[in-house]
Amino acid sequence: MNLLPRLRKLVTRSAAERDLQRELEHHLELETAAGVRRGLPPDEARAAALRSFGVMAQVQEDVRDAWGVRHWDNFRQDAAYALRGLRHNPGFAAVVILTLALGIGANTAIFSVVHGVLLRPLPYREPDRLVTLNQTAPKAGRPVLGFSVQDFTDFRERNRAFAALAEYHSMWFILLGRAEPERVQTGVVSDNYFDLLGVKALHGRTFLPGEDRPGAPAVLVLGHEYWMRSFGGNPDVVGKVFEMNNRPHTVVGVLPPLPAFPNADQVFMPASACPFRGAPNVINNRQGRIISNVIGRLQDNVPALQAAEDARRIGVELCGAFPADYPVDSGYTVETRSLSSSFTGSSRRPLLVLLATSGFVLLIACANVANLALARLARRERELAVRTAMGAGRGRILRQLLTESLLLSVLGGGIGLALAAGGVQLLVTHAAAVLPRANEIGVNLPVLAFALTVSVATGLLFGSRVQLPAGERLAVTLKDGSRGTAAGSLKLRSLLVVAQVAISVPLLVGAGLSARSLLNLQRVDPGLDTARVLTANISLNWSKYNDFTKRFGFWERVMQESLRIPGVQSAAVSGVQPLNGLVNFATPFRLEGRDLTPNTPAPAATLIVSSEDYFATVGQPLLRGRAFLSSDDNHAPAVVIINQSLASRHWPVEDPVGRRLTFDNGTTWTTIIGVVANARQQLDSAPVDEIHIPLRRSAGLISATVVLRCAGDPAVLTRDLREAIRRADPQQPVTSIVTLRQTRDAALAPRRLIATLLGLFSVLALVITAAGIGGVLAFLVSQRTQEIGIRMALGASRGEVLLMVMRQGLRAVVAGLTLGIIAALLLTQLMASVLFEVPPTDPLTFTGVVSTILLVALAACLLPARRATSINPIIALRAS
Amino acid sequence: MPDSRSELLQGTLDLLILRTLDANDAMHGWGIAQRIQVLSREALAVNQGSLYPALHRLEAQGLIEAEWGVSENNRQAKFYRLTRAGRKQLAEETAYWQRFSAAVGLVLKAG
Repeated sequence: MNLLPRLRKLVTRSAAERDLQRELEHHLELETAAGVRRGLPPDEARAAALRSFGVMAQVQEDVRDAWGVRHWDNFRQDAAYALRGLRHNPGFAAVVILTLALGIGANTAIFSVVHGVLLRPLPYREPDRLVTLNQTAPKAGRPVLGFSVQDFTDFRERNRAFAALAEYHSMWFILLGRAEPERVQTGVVSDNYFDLLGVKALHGRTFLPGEDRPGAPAVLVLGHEYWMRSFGGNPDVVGKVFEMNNRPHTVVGVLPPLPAFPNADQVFMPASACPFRGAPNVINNRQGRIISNVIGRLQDNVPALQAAEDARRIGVELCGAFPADYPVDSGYTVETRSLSSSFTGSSRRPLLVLLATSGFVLLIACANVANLALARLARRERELAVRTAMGAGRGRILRQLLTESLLLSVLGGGIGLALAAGGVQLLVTHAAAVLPRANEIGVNLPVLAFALTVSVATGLLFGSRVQLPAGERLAVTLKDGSRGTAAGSLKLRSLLVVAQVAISVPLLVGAGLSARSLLNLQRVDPGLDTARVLTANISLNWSKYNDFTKRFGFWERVMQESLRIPGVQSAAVSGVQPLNGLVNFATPFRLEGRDLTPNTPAPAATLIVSSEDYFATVGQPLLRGRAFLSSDDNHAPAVVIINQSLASRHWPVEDPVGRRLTFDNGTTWTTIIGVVANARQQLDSAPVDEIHIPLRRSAGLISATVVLRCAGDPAVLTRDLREAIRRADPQQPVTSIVTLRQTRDAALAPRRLIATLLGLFSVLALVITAAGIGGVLAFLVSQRTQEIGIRMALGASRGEVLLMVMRQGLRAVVAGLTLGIIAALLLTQLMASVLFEVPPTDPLTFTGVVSTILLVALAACLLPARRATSINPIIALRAS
Repeated sequence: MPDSRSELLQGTLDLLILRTLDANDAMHGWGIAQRIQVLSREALAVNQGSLYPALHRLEAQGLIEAEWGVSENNRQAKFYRLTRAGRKQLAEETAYWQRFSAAVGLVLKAG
């Protein structure tokens, strides 16, 4: 059909109406004249002519239909009518729009994050064919072993399922050749790493086959962000030569923007260029597991399960070939995971919990809106009945009600989207440190589509819950004073309240559990006194500080300069950053007088180098023996201090002080001089076995943390510390200086974020549910005004009426609570991995939630119930 | 309506309007209704309620076109005329109708 005449009709609407009127009038005149000619009196002829048209209004409607403008017209009319209706019920409109806006806003915000982090495909070639491999020894307390060069070579040679395997680890090196020496995070990879991922260089090239072989010239590929920030995105950097680790490194390429995976590396170098990875003693040591990640691409037609099986088989073979390096009793095995799941890692579960939570909030919101709509419909029953009786089509009325609910949900959706845009901004700023790919999160088109779908579906959902009175019921409804079908709708509305309460319970329990986790974590004793401590991470220039004396000299200068700062009480250096240490780099050792039990993992512990005053500075109490002294140097006998965890593992009863251990199978022996209390390397993981080595007897640390205990607020000394480090070496780049408190708070950030969001959602759910309960009861009271009036006239006391109404409301609440507790018991199991030292069935949380909901429900019931007791029987009876 | 006259089959009204306009020059709505009644020897009654929606539908489809003119009672009236597309449509519909009624006739005779 032609669009143009239709549009013209739309524009010249009133003219067309006038024409139609004239045309029909003309017809009537001719028909009347014909009747008169047949001998009828003029008025009868006119009446007969009109009759022959049937219902004139219907004819006009049908003609408009033929113009094709009717739908648009109806819609405009419905929308205008709906708007007018909503303006007359601003309370109803505001509550519905706000409820929906909050529900949709929360969902869109969370969905934006989920989409950015979990759903967007990784920017690699066929990312679903990529897996990560992990050697694990869970019974030795080492879930992530890493790979030695020999492990990696064996996996490359023995596997039958992978088209290629690539290695990766990350280190901080100093890059020279720019205006200032710069400390850069460097990904050390095999030469096939980028080809395996399917990443092409933006400028220049990535690594060529053979570039990771020993003796190959050192080359660099720059990460996109680093290139933009440090080189202003200038492609001429390709070909430039910089010095790293005492060797010239030529830049051969620049990468496109990539997610910060496995780490936020600024530059990449082939394995042979890394002085650690390339050292013969690392290459030849099967337990020198320097490689942190191995990524594999599956051969075509090889399913992931088969590859996992293949990797496990290699593990079994290695166990058999080298029993000393892979003790059976350590639970050693090889795991494979899809790249996308190791990518999102630990953020996957919390995000899904959040998404489910916000989904529940939306469900509750929809129930509330449906509830409100039903109440409004019940009040409008008479009006609708009158309109039906007057000849309005059922379809037309339904369409009109649907328009109204669509209008509400689109308005709510629009406001919700605005809320989501703000919410996403907030989430990204708070979550950037916690989530991978946070910089890729935004309210984008799929998210918009999601929001619109949710809002329209919501509209249809509650708009379709309409039952129009018809036939006999129509007559009943039309009768004056009838209560119509309200009873049926009340039952449905009570069910909605049951559902709302039932959904609220798991929400509140989830929020309660994560709040308890956060509290537990906040209360955790890290084993250190975190107040008034300032820390600075420093990595020395590898080529400049090339022996112990130079390195030790630097650390000593820094400590001396720091002690000159007014307000600094003590200064120390440690190889591990307190509360942000790298766990799992355990070194095996042997105890004097104890043989190795075959097939049991050799004792192993994390080695930590620290200066004399370290324990005193961080407030880690010495339990036995003595601290390190300045005399514990390279000329004195070798001494170590062990922590409580290690002490009680091997000397449950005896005093370990004075015992000896060896790291080199008995060639040299080291004496234990003290036992220090446990301290956590990470706030949320238990203390591990540690052996502390005096700085003066170590190789001198190449990178370490300077720790200062201050008399007052440590943050104000940040600049003084920076100055002190500059005085120790003016060319030394200094990275972040933070207080120990800040480190501790940063460790809590992800859980705080989750607990806050869950808390917000559950408060939201509680408020909406309370509104639902109150609304239903208020409706009940208004429907039963007469009955209550009669009861009171017959002598019912106010208390009895109050109780009757409350009982009605609380019955739904209790039913909802029962269902909700069952649902919560099932659902919170999924949260177990997100919780910290709280069982998912924590009775305290459940009791708290149940009493909170009961209290809120009581409050919500009280208002309408009190109104019921204030009913004046005489007025109530007269009203009928 | 106290009627021995047959109600029109759905869809046939369009065909009859096109046929009527094909045989005559421009006609207004009342004239078309009268002509159908006369030509069918009073056997077919045009429901006035469906006549105008049909006319406007055919106009919207471009099968007929309309023009305001002066009618026999000296009033402004809307006159309809067949378009080229309408003539083509009429030919097709007529052929179809004849096949259809012949087929129905055969079945009825055979029954």
